[in-house]
Amino acid sequence: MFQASEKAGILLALCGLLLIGATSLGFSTSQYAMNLIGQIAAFALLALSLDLLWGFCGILSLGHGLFFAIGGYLVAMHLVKVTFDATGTPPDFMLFMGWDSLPFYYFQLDSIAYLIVAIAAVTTVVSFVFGYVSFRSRVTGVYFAIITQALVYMVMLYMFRNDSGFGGNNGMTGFKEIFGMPASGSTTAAFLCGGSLATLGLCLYGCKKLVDSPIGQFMLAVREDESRLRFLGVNTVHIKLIAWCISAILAAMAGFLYVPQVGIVNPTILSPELSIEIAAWVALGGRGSLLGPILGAVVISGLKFILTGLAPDLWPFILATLIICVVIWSPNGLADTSSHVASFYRRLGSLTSIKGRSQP
Amino acid sequence: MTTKQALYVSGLNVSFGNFAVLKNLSWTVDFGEVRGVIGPNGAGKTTLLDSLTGKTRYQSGDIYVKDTVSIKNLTEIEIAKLGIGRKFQKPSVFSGLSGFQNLEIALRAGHSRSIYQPKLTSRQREKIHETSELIGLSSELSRNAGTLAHGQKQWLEIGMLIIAEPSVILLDEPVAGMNSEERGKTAELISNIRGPNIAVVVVEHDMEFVGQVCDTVTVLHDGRVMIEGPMGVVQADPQVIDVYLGKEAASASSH
Amino acid sequence: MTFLRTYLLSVLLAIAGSVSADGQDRQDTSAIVGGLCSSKPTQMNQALNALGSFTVESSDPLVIENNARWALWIISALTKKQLVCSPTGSGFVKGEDELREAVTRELTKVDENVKLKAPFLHLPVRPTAEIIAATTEMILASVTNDAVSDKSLESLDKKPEQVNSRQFSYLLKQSNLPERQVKQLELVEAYQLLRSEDLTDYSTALAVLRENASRKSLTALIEIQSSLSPEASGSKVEMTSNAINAIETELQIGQFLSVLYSGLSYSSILFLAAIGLAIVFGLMGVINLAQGEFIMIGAYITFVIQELLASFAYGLMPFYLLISIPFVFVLTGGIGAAIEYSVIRHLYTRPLMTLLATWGVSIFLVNAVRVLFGTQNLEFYVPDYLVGGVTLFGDFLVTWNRLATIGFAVLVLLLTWILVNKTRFGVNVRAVTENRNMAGAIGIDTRKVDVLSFALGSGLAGLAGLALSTIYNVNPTMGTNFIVDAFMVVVLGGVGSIWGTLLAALLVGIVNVAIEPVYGAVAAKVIVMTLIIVVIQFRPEGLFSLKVRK
Ligand SMILES: Nc1ncnc2c1ncn2[C@@H]1O[C@H](COP(=O)(O)OP(=O)(O)O)[C@@H](O)[C@H]1O
Ligand SMILES: [Mg+2]
Repeated sequence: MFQASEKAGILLALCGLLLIGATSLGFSTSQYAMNLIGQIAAFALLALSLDLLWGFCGILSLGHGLFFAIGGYLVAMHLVKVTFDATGTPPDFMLFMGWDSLPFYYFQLDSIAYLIVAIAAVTTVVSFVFGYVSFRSRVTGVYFAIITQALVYMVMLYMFRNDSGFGGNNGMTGFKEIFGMPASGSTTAAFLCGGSLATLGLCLYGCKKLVDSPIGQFMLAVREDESRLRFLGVNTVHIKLIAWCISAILAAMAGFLYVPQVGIVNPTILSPELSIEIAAWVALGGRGSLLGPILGAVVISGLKFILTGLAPDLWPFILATLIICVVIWSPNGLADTSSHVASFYRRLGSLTSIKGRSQP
Repeated sequence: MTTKQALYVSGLNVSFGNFAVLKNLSWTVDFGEVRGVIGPNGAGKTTLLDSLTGKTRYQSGDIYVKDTVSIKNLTEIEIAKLGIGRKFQKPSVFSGLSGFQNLEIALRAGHSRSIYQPKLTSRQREKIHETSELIGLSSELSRNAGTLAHGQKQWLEIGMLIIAEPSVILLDEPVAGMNSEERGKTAELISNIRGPNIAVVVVEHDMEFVGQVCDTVTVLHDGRVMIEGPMGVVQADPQVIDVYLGKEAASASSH
Repeated sequence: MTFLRTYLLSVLLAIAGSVSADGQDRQDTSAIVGGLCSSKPTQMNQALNALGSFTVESSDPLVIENNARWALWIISALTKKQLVCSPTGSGFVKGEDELREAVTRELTKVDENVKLKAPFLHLPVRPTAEIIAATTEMILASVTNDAVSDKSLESLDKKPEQVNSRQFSYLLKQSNLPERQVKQLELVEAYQLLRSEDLTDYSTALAVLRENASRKSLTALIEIQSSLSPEASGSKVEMTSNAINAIETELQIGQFLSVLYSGLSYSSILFLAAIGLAIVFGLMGVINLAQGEFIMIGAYITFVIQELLASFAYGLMPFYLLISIPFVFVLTGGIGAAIEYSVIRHLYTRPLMTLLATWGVSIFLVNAVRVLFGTQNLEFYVPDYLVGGVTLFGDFLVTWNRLATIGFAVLVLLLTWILVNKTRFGVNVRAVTENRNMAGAIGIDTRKVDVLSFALGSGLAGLAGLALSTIYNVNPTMGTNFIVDAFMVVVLGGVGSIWGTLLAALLVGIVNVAIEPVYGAVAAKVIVMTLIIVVIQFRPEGLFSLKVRK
């Protein structure tokens, strides 16, 4: 049980690396499948990031789309910059504004190293400032959830503006090449998918280590009874800030992986709906287990991919029903359901053989 | 100068809206002592502990810890760091964590530098085991704290206080809901805790228990100290009998 | 600039005056048509003015009526591009399958080889045509004793200095004009008197303009001020700048009041949406993410009732909004109660999970409505008594529908206050809010209180939907537009307090409306968010929270 998530993390990382290795040796794969798996892996990482915060530290954010978008928009800016350097013409949305070169904040973004630093820095600064102000003034629970939702909504409104330099409501697209590879093609898809799987695996492994560490224990203590911890003399603001910032960075990484695979970024990833949907993945998968939310993201976004094609009108009803039912009857999500099933089998087993008795 | 007074409360006023709960209360507790605080329901006992730990802000008066430190402008975190530990009326342990983890958190919290220290030292492990023996939970350490019996939770919470080596321990109704055997164990635990450098305050309803563990008893009534002294003296006081014991006696006889 | 205009005006007046006094003179009328056919802006304007003068050539009412009708016919043909001209400059008016001679109005035919072309309507010609048509309509109305349309009065206001002076002096002499028309004419007169050298006339003109403060009068005065020569009499300069200041102040006040007014109407909606959230949050610690959908459903129920009345009781149509009130309240309240009973009650110990569950509910409701009604905006019939409004101060227009919304919100506020403070149900709600266990122990049925309060909250949101149906767009996803602001109201106002919710709704509503047009929606949201964060630093539970022991 304990090692399950560690094992899964290593396994995922190995799968990803294997895929990358095989592809560079010329092994060919289906572009559609790679794209699908890669995107779902990015969503799974996003779910993991919220689970670390909500499941382990008890803080529900309904604005995690913000960090996802920071990663996504910055990587899109990098791709725009690279395309600009190659072609010499700025993207349409800038021409439309009458700009003939990129605004200053695209400076140096063509370097991947700089891009990564920028994502880390922007995410940390934004999450730290917002987190510090909110946690210090003891905004918790439903209040915090609502305020984060307002935050992401606010940023979405800003990004919808055409003069922001981020593509307005059409967003940024039309990238010519991605990390030195052609923008589309099965090889690129396979590399990105492999990279996403490997990142997801490593992050899963890292999260497991984190939650088992003393900080992880303090996070759990915050979740269980924050006020008790304060009366023991612990400044819980620090613990919450650590969880919040790490979670934000994981979400930004997910955005960084996601956008090159879909080839577009626009303000819909900042919509409050997406942010709530992340929470739905976590709740359905099971808060406080690391594998559950990954499973939740895979199941729901997988279902969504299939059903929005097959029965687009039906999908919202299925999603709504699923959420309501799981939230009511299975408080700890699918992970809980699976343990119900497991315990049922165990009981079944113990009826047939005495040896089947499990550890308490 | 040696510090003697663990707590010094002077002219304390606490009110909620127009409702005054503590009225110009002055009160001291010395190091080395186990002090009982009794009083009818609503007398303001819990509110007094709330003020001492920074949970409730007081309107006027002041509270000094270890003779000199005023806690007027301190947060509950800073007050806890001064070495004031408190058990709540409703048992508050981290129910999703094991008993061991509960003690470990309290131990790390007591020394702020060790919060981020990756591994416990062997000395620290030893200390957790010592404490668990003291509170009688050494065989239950791996159990989830939420699944412990009510009494065991109370002991675990007391264990979480003493493992941080505080100077003042405040216990709000430590034997509420315990049977007489458990009460005996708790009394034993409290006498084990006491020492020259620690002050223990026990807020209780159970007169017998208070008489058993405390040297001096303060009777709180209507937000003021009514009388203070050894249990025998307090019990004999006609005023106390009237407002407090009298009621109990009356209700006991009516059953 | 001004010089040029004065010059042009005098030329026009001279031309208008030179037209022969013989009303039925063919010469004149064909000259007018010829001018219109010229396709040159100056000549067309001259012709239009001549046309205006022509209408008041005679003093015989019958002739005036006849000429005015002809003039209106020609102008309307001109603006609708039905006036077509031959290359020789004779005009015809095209109807459906027919052609009439412009001067005689007689049916006629034209050789197919003759190319008929509509004269080009240059930009400066349009307002002249509009104004001449307006004054001509007034003249016609004065001889036939008919009412004048609001539209002609309005066009008169647009370029008062261009009004044909002969028509104008004719109109001034009429005694049977309605009051609004007289006012309008006075204003026109004032604009013309502004050019008068006579100080008394000038000051009368200023007084009239001050009374009718508007952007337009301000620009006119500023223009006059800049044209006043330095050696002009000191009192004139001073009078002008006084008038400008007075008008500016009034406009600013009007502007301020307008913002306040639309802010108030938005606040009313927000209040209706948020009060339910605040009560439920105070009571059960639950935030209902589907609150926006209750607003939407309220609007849709109103729509259904409107449609039902339209098909089965057309006479009641004007009152459909009033008739809808009980239905909307009971139905949305009922849906709320059903959701409380089936979903929310399982989740009281897990408030964060209710966020998700109610989000599920909201997806369900939005899509159900989308499947049933489609995604387009609904068309609401606006009853006559809610159309238009009254101008109070400068440009400040008090529109009836917003006024009705505000009044409705005030009424709901009072009723809610009475419900919470003066009824047994309200006492129970407050008791459960303060201490659920204690309330349960003294025999209050807390379950019943929960269901009823949730129903109340939903019903109030439904009423918000009703109130906004004639002001905002109504479609399945409209709820999202209000919900974030409604949450902000709850967070800012504090838990379970009617006054806190009211104050916060006013703040959020007015800040939004005041900032949005100038700096955009983002700035408005940023300011509201900052406000909230600041408030939370000092009052973590909102402005007006109840002090509850935890
Ligand atoms: N946060 C609060 N708001 C309002 N009244 C309070 C609050 N805390 C305590 N009180 C009131 O103060 C009085 C004293 O309470 P408490 O200190 O709990 O008494 P005790 O612990 O002696 O039984 C009670 O009447 C209680 O209702
Ligand atoms: Mg008490």
